Amino acid sequence: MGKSFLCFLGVLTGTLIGVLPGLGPSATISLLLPATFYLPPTPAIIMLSGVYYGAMYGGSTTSILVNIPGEAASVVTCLDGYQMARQGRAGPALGISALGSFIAGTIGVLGLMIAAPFLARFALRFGSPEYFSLIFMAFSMVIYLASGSVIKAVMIIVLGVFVGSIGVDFITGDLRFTFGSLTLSDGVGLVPVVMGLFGIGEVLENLEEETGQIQILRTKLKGLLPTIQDWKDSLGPILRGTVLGFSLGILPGGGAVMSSFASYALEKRISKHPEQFGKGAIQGVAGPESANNAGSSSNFIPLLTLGLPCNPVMALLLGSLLIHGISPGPMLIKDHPELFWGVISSMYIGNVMLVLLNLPLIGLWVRLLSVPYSVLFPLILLFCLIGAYSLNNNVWDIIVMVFFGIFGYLMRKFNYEAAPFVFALVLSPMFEESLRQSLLMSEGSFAIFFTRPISCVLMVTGIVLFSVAALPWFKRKPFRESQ
Amino acid sequence: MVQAEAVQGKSMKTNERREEKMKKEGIVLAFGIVILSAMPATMVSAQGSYPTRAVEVVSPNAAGGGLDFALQLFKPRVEKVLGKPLIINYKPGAGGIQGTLSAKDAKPDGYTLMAATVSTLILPPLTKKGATYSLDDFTPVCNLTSIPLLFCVKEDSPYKTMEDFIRAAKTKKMKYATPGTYYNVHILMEALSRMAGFQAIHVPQKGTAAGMAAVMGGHLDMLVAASSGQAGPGKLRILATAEASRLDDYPNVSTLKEIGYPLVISASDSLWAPRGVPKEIITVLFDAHRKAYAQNKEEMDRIGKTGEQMVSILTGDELIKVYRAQYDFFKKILDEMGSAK
Repeated sequence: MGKSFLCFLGVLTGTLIGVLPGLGPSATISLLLPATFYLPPTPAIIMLSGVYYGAMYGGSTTSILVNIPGEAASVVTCLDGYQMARQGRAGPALGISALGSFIAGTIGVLGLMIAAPFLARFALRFGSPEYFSLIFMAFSMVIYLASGSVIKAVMIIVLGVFVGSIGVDFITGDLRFTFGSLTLSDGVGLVPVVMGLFGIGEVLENLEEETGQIQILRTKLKGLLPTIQDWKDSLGPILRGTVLGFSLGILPGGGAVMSSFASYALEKRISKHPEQFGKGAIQGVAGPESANNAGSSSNFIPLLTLGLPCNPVMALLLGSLLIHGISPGPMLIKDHPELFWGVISSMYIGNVMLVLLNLPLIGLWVRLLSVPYSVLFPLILLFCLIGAYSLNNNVWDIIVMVFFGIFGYLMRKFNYEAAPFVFALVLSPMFEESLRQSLLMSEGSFAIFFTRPISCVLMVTGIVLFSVAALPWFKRKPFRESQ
Repeated sequence: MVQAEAVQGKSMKTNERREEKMKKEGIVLAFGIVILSAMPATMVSAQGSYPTRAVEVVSPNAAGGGLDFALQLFKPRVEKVLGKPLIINYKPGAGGIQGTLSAKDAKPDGYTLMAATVSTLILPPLTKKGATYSLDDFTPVCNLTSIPLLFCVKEDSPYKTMEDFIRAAKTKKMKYATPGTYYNVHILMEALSRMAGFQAIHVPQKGTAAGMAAVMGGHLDMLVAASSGQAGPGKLRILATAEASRLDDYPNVSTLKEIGYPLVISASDSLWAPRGVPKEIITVLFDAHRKAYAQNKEEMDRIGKTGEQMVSILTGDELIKVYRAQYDFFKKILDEMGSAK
């Protein structure tokens, strides 16, 4: 009884903070952490994990409704989700992301239950060279993310890599491009950047139209729930997203952001109508949303079976376990079965609660879109400002957000896309880190990426993907330029 | 001090009662007496009954880490002794520099304190630009916990002892992981390699967990890190520690000192105040922490152990001595390494 209630409390909190831009699961869990010290360990972890996967559900809501990613992992959901909302299909978009998340979450928990110890051991075989090859492969897929000019996509990726390199040089400890600013020495925060690029940029662009006439909703509402055709289109992306998100989530250094981007790129690649992506394709919502939810289940695998936290949220959960006197590791299932199985069964229940919680809310959210824009946009700005400040209690995060808001507006005006920028910003620090670690390990030899089997397979796949993507572009180039 | 506050509370209650009585007898008289009798009470609170309100503790590290573990361990128990809440204000950023700088500039009235580790207080001024503070800017309050630094290998590694490892390192270049460049453990390993005469390749990781994964997966040979749950079945094997004496929990793990390398160094979580806080206030704070630990020794030791931290109350004088010694040690090795700054 008490545990179900705490689980409900957790997923409810998670949904709410997922909906609020900026305020993410790690900030919330660190606020709740002291309160859980007074609870026994199992209910405490049940509640905190509820916040985590609840936030993954809620994160898509603002992406779809107003183009503001609630979490970094829901950046890709903006691309097609928001377009669906503008076409009056916010309901189906919200519905498919809730139900896709439910399917993915449930399959993810099943996988966690059945294969956790084995998978965790396998994931340890990923060292720096494997990560490098994996990210290389991801980069060569990113070309599919762009729907317009490839040269513009490449330019924007390079810019993203540059912004990603601001801060402390991780290997030597030197400062790069910080101009004496302490705030910049931590690098440019991802969340204020995405809130600026997508949310503020969108608001600025909308303001060009005459106030009073602007409406997010361009047409009439078309149904609240996904149709049978929507389901037919989405089932494949949901299942593929689940597998992709689950696999990447196991890696001790993997991330929800990478899996949602990878799922989007994959769906666009195998789609018969890739031109519909970015214009409201339901597959572009179903895949990534499922991927980030499956990942949020498999993230628990390295923590519970090896004691390795793979992201800041898992590190907080580890802290909470330690203060209760439990040191997670291979012996956890044997020593504390009530904790392991308690958390897993709570995830089944929590996923059902989330669907029941989210489906009735869809009607409410959709109605929000009929609020006049002159009322809505000051509210959006306000929530963004509060959200950015809540990240670190630092005014600079607001400045970064506003800067990238203007930048995002200019990018829209000149037809550059924001998604490849975010992708590069997320992955380039990991890319550099794993490259330099690998070269330290091999004492400077690039052969290390081909002599290790897993790395070699990933690297060759990456090179093939890159060539396939680049060759037609080289052929078509003169034609494009003449356009 | 707690007693003084209780006495003051009582006297204020008597005042109130007296006031009620006076109202009946005559307002003018009442005013005069109330003012007179209230005056000594306000003077007492201004001088001696610290704290009269909540005390803020600036944490330069984010919630959920090792420093936060120590703070949370003490917080509820110290609050009971102090009679006022402690509010932990997290100001992470720039490797601890942001929070430390903001605490340095705080009013030295005892209502703003700072939590610190060697990595937030000593190392940034040695290795980073912008860390414009030194030990002299702060008054030591109390050391809270001490965390042993460990040298670990994979569970099935051929190296059974630290001597095995060092012997092998002289013929083959070993690769070791640390949580980051210029961390205390990185400098410690550099010092050891100089002393023992071997060269090893440093492959910095993002945090201890990433280092554990790299060594558990067999990608690197050794992890040097502060204790945070590395040991245990299916995880890593500890070869040595830089403690002064062997660890209670791992009696078979040798110290560096006993195998001939006199490097004694631990990580610690401690509490500081801005320079200029009156001595009496520091004494109140120190006594509160000592008392909190004395009253809950068994429980705090047990919880501390699961977080791989040992509660270790040191007075301000002892604390600053330890930190100064570490400062001198790190400075010497960093100079030899030719560090960035």
